[in-house]
Amino acid sequence: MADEKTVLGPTLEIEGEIEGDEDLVIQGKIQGKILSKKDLTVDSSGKVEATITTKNLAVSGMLVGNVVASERVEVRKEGKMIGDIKAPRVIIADGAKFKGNIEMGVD
Amino acid sequence: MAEKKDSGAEGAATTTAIGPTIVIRGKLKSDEDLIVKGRIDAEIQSSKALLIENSGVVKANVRVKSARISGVVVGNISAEDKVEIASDGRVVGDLLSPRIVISDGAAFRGRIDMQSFDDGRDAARPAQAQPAKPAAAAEPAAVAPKQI
Repeated sequence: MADEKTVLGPTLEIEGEIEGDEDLVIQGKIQGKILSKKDLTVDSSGKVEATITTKNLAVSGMLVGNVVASERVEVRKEGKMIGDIKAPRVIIADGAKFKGNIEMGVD
Repeated sequence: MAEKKDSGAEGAATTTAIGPTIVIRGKLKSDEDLIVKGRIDAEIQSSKALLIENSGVVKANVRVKSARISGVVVGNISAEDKVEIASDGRVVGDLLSPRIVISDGAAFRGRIDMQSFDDGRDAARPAQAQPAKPAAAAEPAAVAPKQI
């Protein structure tokens, strides 16, 4: 189960809740809530409007919603994100678009 | 859509495989083949094929082009082309499709209609409201609108 991975393809639209114990790559459209215990990637074709709880998140597409990550959040250079991030490590790459609050838990 | 990703997912561009640990609730729409190994409590609408593997469980109504079930479906299935319940498949619900195959060993409870696929009625009945005994929920609901 360790290298299990689910790719939700570009024509896929989900409204509701997704929960998973494996890496998740989103190329389609998701609206709702995502709960992941592993890595979550919003690919460049991905459009996500959701509240996300995950371990790692990488955004190359469009994400609207708040994120809580136990390890790290990365908004890549082609990524756009609107929402709040709460994670110990946050990376915003040069070229990325972001609007929201970031909380890294520093004193 | 911009460039394809480096995630090694190119091969999966026209197929989505939903892994065994994934749970989806709500509503799902797709224009690509779908392989389900996890659990979906979401209405599925797809213009392509649906394959429910051994470990896959779907508890909701399904509208697809074709469906092949090796796992479990509780809910009504309406397919434009074909529904096939493989020998390890289990289905509780109504089937609506011009071609229906039930293999030896498959378990099925529900109604089958091979004729009136295009009479407008679909399987959009709230079977997922009562996952505990969906057959009871599905049957009276399905009978009511099209008593001939």
